[in-house]
Amino acid sequence: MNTSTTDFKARVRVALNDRHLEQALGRARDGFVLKRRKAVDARPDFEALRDQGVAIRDHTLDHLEDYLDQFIQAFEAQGGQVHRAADAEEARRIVLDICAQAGARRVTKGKSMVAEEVGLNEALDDAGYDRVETDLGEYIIQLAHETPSHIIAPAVHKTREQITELFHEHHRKLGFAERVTSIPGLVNEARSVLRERFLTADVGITGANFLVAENGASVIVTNEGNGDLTATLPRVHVSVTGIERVVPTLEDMTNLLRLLGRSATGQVMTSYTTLSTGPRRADDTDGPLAHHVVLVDNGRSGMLADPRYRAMLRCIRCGACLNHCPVYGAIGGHAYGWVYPGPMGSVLTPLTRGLGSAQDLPQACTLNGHCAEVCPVKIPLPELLRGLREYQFEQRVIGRRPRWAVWLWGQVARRPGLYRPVARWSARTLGWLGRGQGVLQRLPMASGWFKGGRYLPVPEGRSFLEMLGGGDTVPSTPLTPTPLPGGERGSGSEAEGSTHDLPSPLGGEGSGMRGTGSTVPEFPRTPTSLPGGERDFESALEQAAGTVEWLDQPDDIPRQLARVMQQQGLDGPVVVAPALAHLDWAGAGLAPRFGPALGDETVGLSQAVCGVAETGTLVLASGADDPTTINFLPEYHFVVLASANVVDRLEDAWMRLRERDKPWPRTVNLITGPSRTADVEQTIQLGAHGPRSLKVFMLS
Amino acid sequence: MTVNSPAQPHVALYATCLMDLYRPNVGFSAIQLLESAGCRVSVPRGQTCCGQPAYNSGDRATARALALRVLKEFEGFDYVVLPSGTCGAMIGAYPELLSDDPELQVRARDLADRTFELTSFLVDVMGVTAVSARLDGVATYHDSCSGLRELGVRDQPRRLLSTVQGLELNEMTDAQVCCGFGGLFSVKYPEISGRMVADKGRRVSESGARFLLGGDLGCLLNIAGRLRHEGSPVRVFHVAEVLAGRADGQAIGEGRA
Repeated sequence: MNTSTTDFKARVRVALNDRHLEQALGRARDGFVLKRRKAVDARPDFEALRDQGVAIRDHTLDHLEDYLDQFIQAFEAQGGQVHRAADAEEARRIVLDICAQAGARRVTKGKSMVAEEVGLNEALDDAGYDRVETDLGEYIIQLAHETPSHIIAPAVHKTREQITELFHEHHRKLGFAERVTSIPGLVNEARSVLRERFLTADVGITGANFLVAENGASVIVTNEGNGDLTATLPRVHVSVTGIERVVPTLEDMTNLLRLLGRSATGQVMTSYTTLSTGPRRADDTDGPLAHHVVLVDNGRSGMLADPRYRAMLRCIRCGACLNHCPVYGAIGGHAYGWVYPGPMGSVLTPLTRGLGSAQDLPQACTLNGHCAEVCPVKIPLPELLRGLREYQFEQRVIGRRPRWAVWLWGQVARRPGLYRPVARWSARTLGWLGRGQGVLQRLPMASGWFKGGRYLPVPEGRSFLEMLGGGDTVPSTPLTPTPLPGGERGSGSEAEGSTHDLPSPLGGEGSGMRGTGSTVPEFPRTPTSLPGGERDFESALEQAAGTVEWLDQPDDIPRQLARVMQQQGLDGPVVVAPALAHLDWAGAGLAPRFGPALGDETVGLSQAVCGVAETGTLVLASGADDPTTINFLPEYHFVVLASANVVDRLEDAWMRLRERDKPWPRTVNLITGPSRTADVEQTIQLGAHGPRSLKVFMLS
Repeated sequence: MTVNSPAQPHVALYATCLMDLYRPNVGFSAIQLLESAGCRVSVPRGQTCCGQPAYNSGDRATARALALRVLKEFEGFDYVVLPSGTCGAMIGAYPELLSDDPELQVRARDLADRTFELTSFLVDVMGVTAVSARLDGVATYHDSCSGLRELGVRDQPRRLLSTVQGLELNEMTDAQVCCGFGGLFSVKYPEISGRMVADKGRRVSESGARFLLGGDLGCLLNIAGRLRHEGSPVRVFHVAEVLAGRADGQAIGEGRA
């Protein structure tokens, strides 16, 4: 992506005058902030999770090459191919070579910020591939010929009306004559248009949120299901990601997952977390024939080697710093000029592309610290930005006027004998200029201030130190015009003892904070309040819009499926995992296909290895009798789960999978509710690309 | 004032630049509050700027030179108290700023440990639980970023304000969101800063409050400048003025009737 980072101020002006943008950003900010707040409050050990997250990321970065080696070995042992790209150009060339070798024509893409970072989209377009963005937000901005304005919600700057017009313009020729204005209507229209493209793609490109060194899994964390369709259906799957994405173990990833969903969208788990480990196995019936991982450096080694900026590599790309940044909230993502906006972008862009083209980014920040407060891995973003400002100051790349202003102020402030008269004179002059008015409506020396739509309050007229007079201390005569109200002192009792009758406006005395983080209660690693058991699984899944029906025995499954289909008026093809083929389907009046899904099915039925009570997550493992496509292509997804296989936490699920007498599966799908998107006006709509509903048949 | 504290500490009042220049009443209010709490108050006359504008502009050398001045001026007091979270947080950054000199760093750490924002000093150190001031009407409180996030100032001003007779606190939405001042940011990026303070002004108005209070003059000048521009009747005071019962004169940015 070649967007310029130089004309920051011009882009800011455009953004501030865009009423659609203001509307969209206001809605997004409130939504993201509230959802995160609720999710974090519901997890009382969140601070401890953050500390563990920091420890995991820092440890990994300290041993990055070791863990990358481990990942590469494990991934290649399972038939995958790893490529390392030193820079953007090399990354583009690697991916183009893979596409060329595959004889590709159509390339589907899941959302990948690294692909944006290395300019892969333009490269694919220039090389003549039919590139299809499949994330709804990315698809919208592809139609608009724009770039993402947010790292997890690329089209957050678009209003529904704008999306309606875009779809009408591009989909008319595909037979969608009507202008669709409702959110479900827009999501459905995109679903129909993109479904055919998923099924006919030759190469699928996704990013990766994590690379697990332990077992060579590349992991994507999504909601729509488009990432899985992109990874599973084409002949070739390419995962493009940064070298810093690696984590040592599944347990480490689990900790980061607990931070990621809550910080990003306020979700306990996103709908889909998928671990892909190499190409289709000998006995698999679906999955790509080749799986490549492209590890992109592009400036990351430099950050790793510089202790001042290394912490930036902890970033797990949740977007919380954007959502809480008041500057981002005012100007949106495009003003930042490159793929990474907001606080994280203001650090990453100069470090990746050089300060020369991004001089404003470290400066355009009030250093209010909101970003660092919400960062799940505690990246000290304001400190990093201040560090960049120091570099800019040393290199004399900031403007002459601010340099001079600061220098002049420094000279005055170093000399009390000068400082006091300057303050005295300024107080008098400004006070005189605005006498009687209280504010100045203009002041030539400080015209910038007034451009912000505000006046400048005027001083009282005399400086404090002048009024105080000479001497080192406060004059013995009280300065107070009125006698001290009730100035009695508590006699000799213990400090901080009598806070009893204080109504706290914030509710509760324990909420007082003193210094950051000092009041966070210590929580045990396994809080007893965490869920466990089938009933907790059920309520957690219901929170994620999934449902559970209890059955006594496996033989009940076909009849119950038939009954539900009848109740809901579902007909059309049914596909069932071969693992469940032995059940009496004919007896229930159903004639399902057994095998992978083809894309035209109304109903799909698969079986889960286990369920996780903590999150309401189903764990499905691919294999000869368990195709992955059933989990994503049918409109209505049903999953069989034995209640004995409900475990408390994700860590327990990993142990179950490790203890099976089979090799680690090619694909592990963690499914927490149906497919969903919030890419149109932050409103959640189920059934984006994957199933519209998810029902669990729980065998007691 | 209801106080609960052992001895009579010697407190140096830090007269921040904006207070010195703009709002001496805040300084006198601070002195009054500290004395009522049982402190002996001094105002070192050689004090100047804490160096925050230089520090945040990347001019480490100037920030360092000013930090050394502050170290010297404020030696020998039990506590240093500021009616500003921003400048307080700057003193908290001195140990990092002087980290290349172990001896200076020890002194900077000692100074930082003795330095407090005014309301947190009154509540957390002096054990003040109530003031005897009166102000009739509804107020809303803006949390200044440095005080809130670097010094943990949030409940203390609210606790004290809740004991001001006649005053009702009504929290505005986004009280903890930056007002857009940011020192030099406000003049370097006035359009962005202006949008941010316009949002803040809207939240203030929505709260229905008659008074906007806060603990940092930078933010208050910014918000008052915006409210006056809008023609808003909301009156802006520093929290110290209200707690000391000295919010009886002109509010910040208010003209003479």
